[in-house]
Amino acid sequence: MNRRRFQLTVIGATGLVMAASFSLAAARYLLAVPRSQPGRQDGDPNEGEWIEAGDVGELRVGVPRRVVFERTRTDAWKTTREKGCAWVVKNRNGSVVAFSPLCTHLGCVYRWGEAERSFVCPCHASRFSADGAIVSGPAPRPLDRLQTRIENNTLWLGPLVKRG
Amino acid sequence: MSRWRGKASRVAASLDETTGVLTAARRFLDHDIPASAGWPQVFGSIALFLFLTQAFTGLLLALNYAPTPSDSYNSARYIMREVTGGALVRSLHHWGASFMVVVVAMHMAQVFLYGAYKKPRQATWIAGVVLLLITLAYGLTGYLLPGDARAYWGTVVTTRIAAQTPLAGGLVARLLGADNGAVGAVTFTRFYAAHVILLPLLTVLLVGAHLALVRRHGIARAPGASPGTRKFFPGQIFKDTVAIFVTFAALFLVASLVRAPLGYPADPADDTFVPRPEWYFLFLFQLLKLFPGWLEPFATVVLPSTAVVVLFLLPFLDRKPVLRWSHRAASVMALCLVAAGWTWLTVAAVRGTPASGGTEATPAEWRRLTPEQLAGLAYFQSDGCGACHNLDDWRPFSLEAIARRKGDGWLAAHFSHPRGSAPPGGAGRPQQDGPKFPALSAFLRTLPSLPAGAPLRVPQPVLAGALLFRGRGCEVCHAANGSGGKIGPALNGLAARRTREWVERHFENPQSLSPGSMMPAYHFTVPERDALVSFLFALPDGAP
Repeated sequence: MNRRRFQLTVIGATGLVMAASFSLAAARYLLAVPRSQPGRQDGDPNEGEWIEAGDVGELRVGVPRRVVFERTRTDAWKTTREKGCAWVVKNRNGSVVAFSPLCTHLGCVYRWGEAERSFVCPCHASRFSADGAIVSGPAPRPLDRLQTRIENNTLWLGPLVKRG
Repeated sequence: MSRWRGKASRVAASLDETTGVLTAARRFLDHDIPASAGWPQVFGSIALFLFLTQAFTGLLLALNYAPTPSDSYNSARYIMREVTGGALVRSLHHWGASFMVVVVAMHMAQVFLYGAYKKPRQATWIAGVVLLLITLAYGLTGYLLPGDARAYWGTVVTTRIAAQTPLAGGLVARLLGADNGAVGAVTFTRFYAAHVILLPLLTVLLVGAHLALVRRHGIARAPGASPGTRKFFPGQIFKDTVAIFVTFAALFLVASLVRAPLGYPADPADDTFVPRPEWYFLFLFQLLKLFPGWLEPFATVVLPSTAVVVLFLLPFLDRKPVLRWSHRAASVMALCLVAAGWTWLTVAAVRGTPASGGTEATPAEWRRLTPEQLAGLAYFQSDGCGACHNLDDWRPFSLEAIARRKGDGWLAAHFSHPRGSAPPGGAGRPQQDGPKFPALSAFLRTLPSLPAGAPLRVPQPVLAGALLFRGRGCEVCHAANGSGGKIGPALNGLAARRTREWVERHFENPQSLSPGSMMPAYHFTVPERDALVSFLFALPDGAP
């Protein structure tokens, strides 16, 4: 190897090493999930915690009801209290199913349409039945469900049920 | 292989035909430089590399940083503690600034010694002096951005010095967003805008001008060197690359081993913090001490301005064409004197800094913890929580993040059933109860506002004393750090008011020293008494 070739090799190799080092540092910095925030799903009411959502006795069988609650939200370095909501439906057997308020298509907030007797998303017209199943529209899956628990007639909403 | 080479050549030719970039690059690389050029000429390239490093790491930081008084510290802390690789990126940026100052100084010294500021290179030198001032301005404006005590107080002093500018002091302070010496939201946004927009724009313009001028006049020959030329590429590029790589390796090593400092949050009411500027400004800080009272403007304005003016006018003050050092003894001596003076002032400033001044490891922050919070720390240690939870760093579960996100109910459930976070009132009864859980929760809530490792610096006697203070009912009557009853006097500042002996006698017989006092007599063992006094005497003078 002559002198020129040696110099060119060193220039190329060191340049590559430096570029790779900076690129790796940047990739870790930008793409890795922050340490204290393991993957969260959209519509998770309180980042995995249980929230009191009201008296079960106030629910009517088969009639979806929107419940509003306060939740703690951690947003990077800020922790704030803000309002959240969920749709709950009481079944004939007394159990309660709770849905994330976000449409499974692109995350818009849907509403219950009395005329349509279904949940209707205003963005792209996805429709879901009272049990969360897809009726029509571009939604890729049924409504996401939250875990529920009833204690002393009080409904508690928990983390999102993991998607299969 | 040759087919790929052929394709690459055709692509390169097409690219060059459209943009001319390869022709320009060849012209840039294939020019003659003095045969005497070599390792002394690498500092300019290193400075350019460091600027690019600062720009890159600065951009990464800006993607996670919030430049407001209320969010700057927390976002900096978020970068350091929670963003993967955040501590490395910030440390690269922090130490890169120090490396930059050193390299720029060495580059200027080399140019000075080679007489490369003389005709016809006056404009090149002047552009370089402006770049030096811009480098220092980066240091000044960036210093505020972490939002910790060091940043805040350092900037208060800086803006007040700027306000001393004769005739225009008020205007300068207003421009800096620090009217009436107050550092606030406007100061933050102005310093941030200067640091990430104005100064980088100026840097790009001036570096471009500087390089264009260097190309125009060529690299200066070494004093006394014989004529003769060689090609810039690959010889000088090789030396530049090696020097840059050594700098890169040193920077990564330092940044990996020594984290950029981040003290406790700025507190305008904190009277314990000792402000200090960054190390390369310490000489100015020390200079102030040599000019007290009415002479102060000499140190803050006259001398620094004079130095800057001399630097600018140097090519016009020293017009002799002579380059050899043997004929420029005065110039070389002046450089040595400046270096020696800077070193002497800096060392004096370092030696004169109190141990608790300007560092992250000040004891003040744990002294403000309430007895309940200290008791929580004591329970943390005694109940073996440290087996899984490390207070010094995030490993394996960030207590700081948990403290910010989880409510007291979750924490209490976790303390009693660590293997699964039961919902409130969920499966199983709590296994323990009593004062420990609220105290543990109270302690955990302090973590977001404490510097890393601060809980580890609380002396054991202080913890034992806090437990005793609560256990013996002292806080029913007496407040410590704002927590407790108001029947008896608050105990902050006790160390300044009473001696140790007085306090010990007071425990035994309060009425003998405080006639009419309702306090009952306490009989402690010697270790108990020592621990309690340690706790009481650790309380700062002012309650929060």
